[in-house]
Amino acid sequence: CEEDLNINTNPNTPVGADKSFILTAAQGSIARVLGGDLTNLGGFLAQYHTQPGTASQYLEIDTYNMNTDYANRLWNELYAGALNDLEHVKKVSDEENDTGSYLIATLLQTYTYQVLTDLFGSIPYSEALLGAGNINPKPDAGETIYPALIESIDTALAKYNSDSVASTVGTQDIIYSANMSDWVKFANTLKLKMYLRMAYTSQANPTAVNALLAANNFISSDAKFSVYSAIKEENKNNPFYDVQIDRLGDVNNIASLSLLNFYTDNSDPRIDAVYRKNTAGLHRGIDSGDRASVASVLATAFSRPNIKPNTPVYLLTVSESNFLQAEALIRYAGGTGADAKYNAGVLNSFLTYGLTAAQANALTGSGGAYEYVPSATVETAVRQVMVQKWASLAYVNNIEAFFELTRTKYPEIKTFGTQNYTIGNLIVSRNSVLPAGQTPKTLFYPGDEVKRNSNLDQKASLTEKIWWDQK
Amino acid sequence: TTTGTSTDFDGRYSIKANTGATLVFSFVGYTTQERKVAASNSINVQLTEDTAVLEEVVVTALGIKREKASIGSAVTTVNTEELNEGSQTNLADAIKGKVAGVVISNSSTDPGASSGVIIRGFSSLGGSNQPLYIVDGVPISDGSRFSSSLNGGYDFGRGSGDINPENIESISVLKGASSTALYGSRAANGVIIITTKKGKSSKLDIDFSTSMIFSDLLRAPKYQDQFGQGWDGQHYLGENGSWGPRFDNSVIVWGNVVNNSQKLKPYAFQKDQLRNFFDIGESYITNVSVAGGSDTTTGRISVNNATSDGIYPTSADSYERNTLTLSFSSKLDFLTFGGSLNYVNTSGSAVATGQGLSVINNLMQIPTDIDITEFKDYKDPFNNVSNYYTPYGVTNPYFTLNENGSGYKKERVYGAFDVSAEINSWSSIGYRFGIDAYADNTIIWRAIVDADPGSPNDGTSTEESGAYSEANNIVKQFNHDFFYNLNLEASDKFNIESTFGFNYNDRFTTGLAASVSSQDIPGYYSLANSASTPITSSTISKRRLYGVFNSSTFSYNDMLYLTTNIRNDWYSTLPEENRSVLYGGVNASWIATNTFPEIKNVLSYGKLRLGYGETGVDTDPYQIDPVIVSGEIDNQGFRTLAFPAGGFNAFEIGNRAGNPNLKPERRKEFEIGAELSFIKNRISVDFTYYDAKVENQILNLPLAASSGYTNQTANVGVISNKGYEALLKLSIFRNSDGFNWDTSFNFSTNDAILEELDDRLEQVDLGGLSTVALVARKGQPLSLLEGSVAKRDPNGNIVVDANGVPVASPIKEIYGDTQYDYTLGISNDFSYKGFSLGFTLDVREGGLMFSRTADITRFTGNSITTTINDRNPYIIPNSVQEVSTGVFETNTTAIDSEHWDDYYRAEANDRENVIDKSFIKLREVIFSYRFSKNIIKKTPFEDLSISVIGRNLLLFTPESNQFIDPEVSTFGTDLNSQFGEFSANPSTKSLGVTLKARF
Repeated sequence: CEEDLNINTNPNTPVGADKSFILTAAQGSIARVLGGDLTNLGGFLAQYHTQPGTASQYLEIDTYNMNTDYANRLWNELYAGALNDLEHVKKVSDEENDTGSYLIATLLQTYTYQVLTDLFGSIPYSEALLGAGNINPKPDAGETIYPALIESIDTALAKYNSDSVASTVGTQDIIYSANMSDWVKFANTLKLKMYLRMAYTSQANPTAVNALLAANNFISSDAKFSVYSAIKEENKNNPFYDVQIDRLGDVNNIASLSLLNFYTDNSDPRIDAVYRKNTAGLHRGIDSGDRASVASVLATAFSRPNIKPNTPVYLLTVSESNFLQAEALIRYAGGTGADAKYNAGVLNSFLTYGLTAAQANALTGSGGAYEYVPSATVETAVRQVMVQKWASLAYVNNIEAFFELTRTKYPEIKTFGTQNYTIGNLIVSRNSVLPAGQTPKTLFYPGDEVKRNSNLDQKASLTEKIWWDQK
Repeated sequence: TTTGTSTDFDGRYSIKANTGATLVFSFVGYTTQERKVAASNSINVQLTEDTAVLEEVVVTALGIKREKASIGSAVTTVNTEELNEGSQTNLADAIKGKVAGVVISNSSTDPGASSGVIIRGFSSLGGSNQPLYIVDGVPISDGSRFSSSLNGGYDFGRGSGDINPENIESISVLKGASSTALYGSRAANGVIIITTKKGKSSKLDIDFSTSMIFSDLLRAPKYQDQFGQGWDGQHYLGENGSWGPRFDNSVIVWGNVVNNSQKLKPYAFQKDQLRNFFDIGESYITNVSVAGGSDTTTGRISVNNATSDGIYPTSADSYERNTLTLSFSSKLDFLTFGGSLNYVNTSGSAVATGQGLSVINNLMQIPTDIDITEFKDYKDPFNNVSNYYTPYGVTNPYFTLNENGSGYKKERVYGAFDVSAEINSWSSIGYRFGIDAYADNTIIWRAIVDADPGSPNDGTSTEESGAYSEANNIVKQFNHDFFYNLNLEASDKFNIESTFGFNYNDRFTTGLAASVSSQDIPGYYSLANSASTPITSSTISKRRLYGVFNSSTFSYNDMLYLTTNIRNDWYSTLPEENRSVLYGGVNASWIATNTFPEIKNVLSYGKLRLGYGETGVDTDPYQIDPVIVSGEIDNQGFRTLAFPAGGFNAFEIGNRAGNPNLKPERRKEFEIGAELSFIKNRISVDFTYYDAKVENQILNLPLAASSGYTNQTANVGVISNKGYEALLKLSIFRNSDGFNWDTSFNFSTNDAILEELDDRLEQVDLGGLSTVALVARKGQPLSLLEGSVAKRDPNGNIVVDANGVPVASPIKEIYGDTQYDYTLGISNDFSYKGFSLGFTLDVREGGLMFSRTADITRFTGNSITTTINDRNPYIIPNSVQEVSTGVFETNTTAIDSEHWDDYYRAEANDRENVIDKSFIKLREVIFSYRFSKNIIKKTPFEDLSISVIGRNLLLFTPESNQFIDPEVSTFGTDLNSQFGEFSANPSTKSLGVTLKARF
């Protein structure tokens, strides 16, 4: 009898699966959040797009009124999807002494935690991912998470360097096909990004940055994820394409004049890579939040994001890496060589968008609209880098653009209609419901997490600053 | 010594007895008489009906018939006449309002939709709360086939809906754990024991009945009649709402320009706009049965056909059920064998509920000045998807109704086979085999919505590429019972009946599902008709249990009864160390009027009951171990990234954490009750108080995602259910040849409280939406609604934004609980000679529910509730603005016509979408005439009656509900349904006629 009752092993799921399959799912989860919600959210906040008068799906974002439910799905996907899957990959890699895969999983975990803490500030870290062993993980402050993340990269690198085992995951690693040298470069670039994020804090670490610059081993190819079908196919396409363009009908996101005017004013050919023209064959946008002026004009009358069914989701690009190096050189090395990195940043942005080097060089070259002007003051020099970075992250990594403008205050955010607005600035959304001049700096914790995790208290407002936002 | 015999059908008997001995003549429902044996060889006795104990015999555990007097827990029996007087297709609907302590809920009145049964409140947070259905001694599946998807929900009914009420002789509803313990875990929510009709010896009955019932829309949301199409106070021809200017009755153009022409209409309110869209629904039920038998063998066959077409125009909402039943029983020497076999086939189609292009969602986004029936010709150039007046994510409802659809088919066989052998006069053994197997097929399709290039709706969110999905399932259940029965008469006063048994139950489900997200050739719906990769899944589920049990009833002198039930189960679904579960119950009853016969002048019948029982409850299969699942990554709630993709496969660590320590739930219930009748049964009362606790609640516990998992099947708390059930019957007039008037009041209350909750948790989510959720909190009534409220400054003033619209607080609050305070059924039956008139009022008081119908009609400005201050500029009283963090100033910004819509859709006002679900319904009105024997004597009929039946003819709801029939739900019929509705299809009222004849 007893034997007959031993039928409670689920026959519908595998008992075990090679870690490579799990790694792919984790990468898919990260890409889905970065390329889905965060491309949408970041696009509003970095003013690449805004909501037309004839749609209201994302009015909450457009009016700076994101509620406590806004982040439920992305939080769940990153913690229970990506991070927990990567935890498994790390564990198995350790058991198998696969130091390569351990490094890959660590880097992806670090990247994910960095996005989470940049969005929310204090988040569960040291007590996270313990399963039923701790269902109320206490949050850690961003100030402590950043150093811990960098340390985890260093530990994984040291492990790999002392016993270099090439990862066995092969092409199931969608990003770099388990090419370990690419991943080591990714590690350095990610560290550089995180050190610079701390630039305005007491934890800024010029020594560490200079060491990275000296080693000069940053990414040489974009870290991007794509398993997406080239034809329109539900549940198989780029996450922004699948939801915002296909499922919701391409009606919610139209070009914001903040970026559209910048491209137009500079005759930047990226305008056609970033936006699709309207049905009349023209580029047209509105000021962010200015939906009232076009109350009954359909989205088809405006430029819209040029995301294709198989547009990859970028985690880190060569362009971004060069801009980071340019900023680092300006801040910590007297600016020598920053111009070359700046130019390479613009150039690689063009290449990522499928444009040519010649088109980029025409703008960065002597007399071009984007010609780098060396400057004695750090801030003036940094501003050039940051404005170009903003113009190069559109639909490449929208949320990174938001983080960077929040950190550096470049491009500047002005109140609409004031004298000091110039092209290349952002404006406060015209239908903001926040007190005058304010913009969101963070998101509310997801309601689901707050309800279920008794150690996490909701924050008071969207204008609470992230710890590295100290300029 | 005592000997006994039985009479044959005609009442003849023979017995050997000595002169001077006492013969005792008894029959269920009749007064027992005693006669001394004299010299004569024949003693004739006329037994008189004992009116004290009508419906004396009830079928209790395992198909054993017991005198009702012997049962120490609340059991309600509904017989075939009561059951079928309303000609209901669905058995649960047929007992609605007839059993105290039982709440029957319908997710909708769509043809074939589910009816759920909740006995004594919700006792399980995570598992099913539906009772166990036992037909002729064997359990049958009550599985449901429904989808509560917000983007297109369907309800194809529950397994219990396959039972033909016309085949039922009686239903006994066992409510308390003291009597249900014998049935194992699934009986923890009560048991509905169904005894089917059998043939009778030496008599041939041919029964025929037919019904024809017409239905109509019961409740449509009430619309404001002042403002028409537009938004922000402006008149826009493309808008899907009524935020335009005030009606002026001028003739205006409307809709899109098509071929340089445009339609004209007055800018005026359309009365009965929604009502005019709907149709008269029709349903027909026909039933024929033949029953009869010899002294030793009886048999019965019956055929039933039920069809219905709901109130949506077209047959998009329709249902058909055919049942064929065969039963026989034979007694040969010491052996009795028999069985019953039912074949059921059902088919139907349902109209999707929810958001998006559902018909109901399309309907409710039509401004109040547009006549919906204008769109009927959906291929007309003005009405087609290219030129339909609005591009905002909705389209012509007639297009959706005609072009989208669903289909459901089910073939089912269930039945019982039993054999028993008498070992001697006081013991027997038996074996019963039960089978319940069905295969079903569900298909759902959505049409391609493709506006012509360059047309007004080209490139808008209304367009979609179509979809097709198909699912096949096979569900099987085998049940074996072995019995050993004892009936010992220790003395002439003391009797013991006892049953020992062994039960083996095996359930198996397999399913295969596939869907494609586009269709290529319009009008052809198939998995093959798509260039996209199908998403497929196949699932198998197996579970088993063994049980050994004993049930014994000890009786003393027809006045004291004690029943003990004890059972040990072994479940496959629990961890090995927790798999064996022992439980049981004991109940007692005392017939006071048999102890003190002298009080019968006042108290015609008096019985007191007392019971206590426990039941162990297992869980679904595969909840113990963590799993690895195929990669399917949610994409913002609208889509997923479904692997395999781009030539790669992926698997995820499942989001459910394992739980090797899972324990069974344990239901503990105490009850006490009394059955009293006075003045020759003119007044009778049946009263019960119960106090139940379910410990170790098994719940799919939502976990904070930061733990790495989002849920775990866990034991989390204790739910208590306490309540009263009272049935008062009054025979106001009683005259067997004249006028009769009976009134009954059927009252119950149930308070479900989450008494204890895992210390690590403040509350648990049970369902609902992200905006308004269904939750449970420790110490609070079970299932609360939680949602946003307006932010307030430290002085309690409402904080408004730059437009004067309230800002939502980041902290949500509890709106209230979803439980009824009480339910009350009031029935009145009048009869005079062959005529009878009966009506039932169903009163349910208290509780909240979410209504998306409220939400959407407030969003569109159609609802009658959207005219605060006549839509003139309005400053929220006592409101402030937050000028910088924590600094508040008196608000001087009035909500203007541009922002009235923002006010009604503001998250801070979400409470307005939650309504009081109290109602009073005129549930049933039945007027019938039974032809007198004199008239039908010369006809082939033995019995003939005709009835006119009305259902749900009137509905009264409180002020806060200007929207819907609060009985509708799109979240099934279990605990989740307490959340409310997400654009449910409207409910109906109906009127029909039934003819019943016996030959």
